[in-house]
Amino acid sequence: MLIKHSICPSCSVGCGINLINKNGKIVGTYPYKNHPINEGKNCLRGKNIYKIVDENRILIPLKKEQNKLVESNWEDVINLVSNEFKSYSPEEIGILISGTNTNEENELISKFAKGQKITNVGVYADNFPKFNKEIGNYDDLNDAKSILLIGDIIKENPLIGRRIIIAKENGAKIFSVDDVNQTTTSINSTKHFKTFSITKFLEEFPQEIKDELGKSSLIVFNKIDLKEDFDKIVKIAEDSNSKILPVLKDCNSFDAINKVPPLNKEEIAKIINSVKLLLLINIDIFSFFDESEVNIHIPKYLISITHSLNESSSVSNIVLPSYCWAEKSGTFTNTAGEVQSFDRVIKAPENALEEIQILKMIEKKLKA
Amino acid sequence: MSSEFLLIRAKDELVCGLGECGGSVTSILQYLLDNDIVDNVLTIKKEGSVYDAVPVLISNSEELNSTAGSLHCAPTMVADLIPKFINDTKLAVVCKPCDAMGINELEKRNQIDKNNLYKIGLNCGGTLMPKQAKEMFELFYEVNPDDVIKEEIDKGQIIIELKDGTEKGVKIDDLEEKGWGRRENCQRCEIMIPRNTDIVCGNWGAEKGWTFVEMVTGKGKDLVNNGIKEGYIESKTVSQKQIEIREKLEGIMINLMKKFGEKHLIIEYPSLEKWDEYWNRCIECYGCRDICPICWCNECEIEKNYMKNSIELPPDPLTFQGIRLGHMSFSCINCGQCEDVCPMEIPISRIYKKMQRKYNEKTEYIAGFSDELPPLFSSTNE
Repeated sequence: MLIKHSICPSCSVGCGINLINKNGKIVGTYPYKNHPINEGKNCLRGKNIYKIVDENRILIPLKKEQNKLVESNWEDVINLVSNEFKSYSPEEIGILISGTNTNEENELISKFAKGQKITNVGVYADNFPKFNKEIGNYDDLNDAKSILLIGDIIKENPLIGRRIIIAKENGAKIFSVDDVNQTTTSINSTKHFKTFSITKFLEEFPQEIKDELGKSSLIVFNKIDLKEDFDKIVKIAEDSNSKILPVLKDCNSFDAINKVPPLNKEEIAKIINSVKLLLLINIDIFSFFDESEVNIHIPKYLISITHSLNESSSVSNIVLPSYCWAEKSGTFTNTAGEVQSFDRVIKAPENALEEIQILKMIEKKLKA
Repeated sequence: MSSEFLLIRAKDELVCGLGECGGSVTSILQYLLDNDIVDNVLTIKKEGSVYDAVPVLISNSEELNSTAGSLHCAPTMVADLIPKFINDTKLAVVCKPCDAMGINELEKRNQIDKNNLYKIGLNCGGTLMPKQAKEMFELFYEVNPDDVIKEEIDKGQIIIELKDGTEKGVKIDDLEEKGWGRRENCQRCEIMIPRNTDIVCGNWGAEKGWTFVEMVTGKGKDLVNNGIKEGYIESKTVSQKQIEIREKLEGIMINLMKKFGEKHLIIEYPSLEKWDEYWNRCIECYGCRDICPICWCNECEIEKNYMKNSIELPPDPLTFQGIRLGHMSFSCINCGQCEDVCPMEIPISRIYKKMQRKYNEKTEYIAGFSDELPPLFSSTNE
């Protein structure tokens, strides 16, 4: 039994978590009390996140033959991938990623795309745009006089939620807004506003909240209806001299949206429908698509770099097995903009390769 | 069996200098590993600073040196790690009182095999949460918390040693009066000397550089005597005066702790309205249950769908905490881990400790100590 520090990849807050390694497998978690963000406290998702290491794990490169994925080897699949890349023009190729790749991986992905002149690149980031605004930090929350919460922050990002609870105990006024009547956040708020549209709520922003927002106030939001809502929130914050704290989707969305364009569902669909070859890096496009909502057609050739078999990888032409976060060292930037490094806790399966290595192999083959 | 006492220290000079008071614990563990009496040692190891530690399993006695010294600012719990991950080995475990109490409750529930286990107890004056400790050192000791390289609790003070060798101490009373100091659970813990182990080591009553060891069980006596015989430790007799000093210190601590018990569980116990507010926050992360060393069930009812009321908010405390209260509160050892890990700052351990206190008043059952399981349905007072 060996207990090691890590950073929780289950959301963008960036909590510390200790992983229990027994015989090369992660078997549980242990509180990391010296971590400044969460002081040993983790949410349910965080405590169970280690299970992703073994879930539907892909242990060997796969290629599609007669409409079925069959086992292959690295030489074969890298050859196939590079041949496909060579047979399309850059405009016909797309790369989509999630916010779960490390800073180092994002750097390389962005470089790779530029090198190949591929412009259909993006990270799925809900409706969050790239932004260049000063944001509040977690400690600001504890001492805030008033906080506006957009989305069910307390339930969905509990270790930010905790600081809202502390602020409330210290006398802060908590306002919440959501498109549902009752959430964990709403029942812990001073006042809850139910709205059909966050956009509309921001346009008709209640005077009652405006009156309470000031220098030691924060607007914390984990959902918005439209990209434009972001600017509306920034405007409200600027007018009231308060701070914003956008809570992004994934553990490293903050870095990803600064290195590749952040995309919402429609923009993702546009890329999917316009390219012939699509490379997915640790993203399952079907995990956020409601197919009735957007009509998407799977491109002619789909390549997945991922550690687990999901809906996207199972319909891919090539599946390249990569490392899970606990198997590599790197850095994540949390939603407050803090860079945190984490070390490898366990060894990856024998036939998996680190994302960086996979991309470099493809790059090398394309140059040859 | 009545306890026997000795003053001991490591024979190896290097080990002697590493430990808190003569490296006795490290030497005893070395003896156990070198002679294959145990396969592994479970203890805690410093991770970079005095504020950080993780439990560690050691099979090679040379690695033990890295575990020497006290770590009051890294509140850990190791009891439940044994049945979960280390149940297949002959083990020596270093335990502060709450670890030892957790182990005792798990032994009674057949989750830990007593015969496979050496319990090396440590006197404990309490632990601090790392963040609070750092802020406190800055505020009351006026030092950079990163400069603290050692800390100890002695003679009613929390004493720190800095990089440059200087020492600073502040009275625990003064710190706690102002809302700082040890974790709330430690403030009200009445067990400073865990006599539910094989031997208990500490500095109370001992002269500098020596450990006062109380050998509680026959196994413990054999262990110390063999450690001496094999040349790992040296010993000298304890004077009556030293025994009295130790008892007096323990008594003072217990009285102080009792006052905190009254404060936390009676005088300042949250009102029903306040509890409603607390339950509103619950996000059903099961953190309190998962960390609880007493909650060992492989299958837990509270997670079952019929117990969940997913549409209605807040979650009904009766189908969560209510069930846990009925299942384990009589055995609550007041370790405070549930409260430490609660993401929603619910003072959850107060309700469990309060319940155990009531149960103890009726049945005299001391959680973590009694040899028998809690007398569930009868009261010895009746």
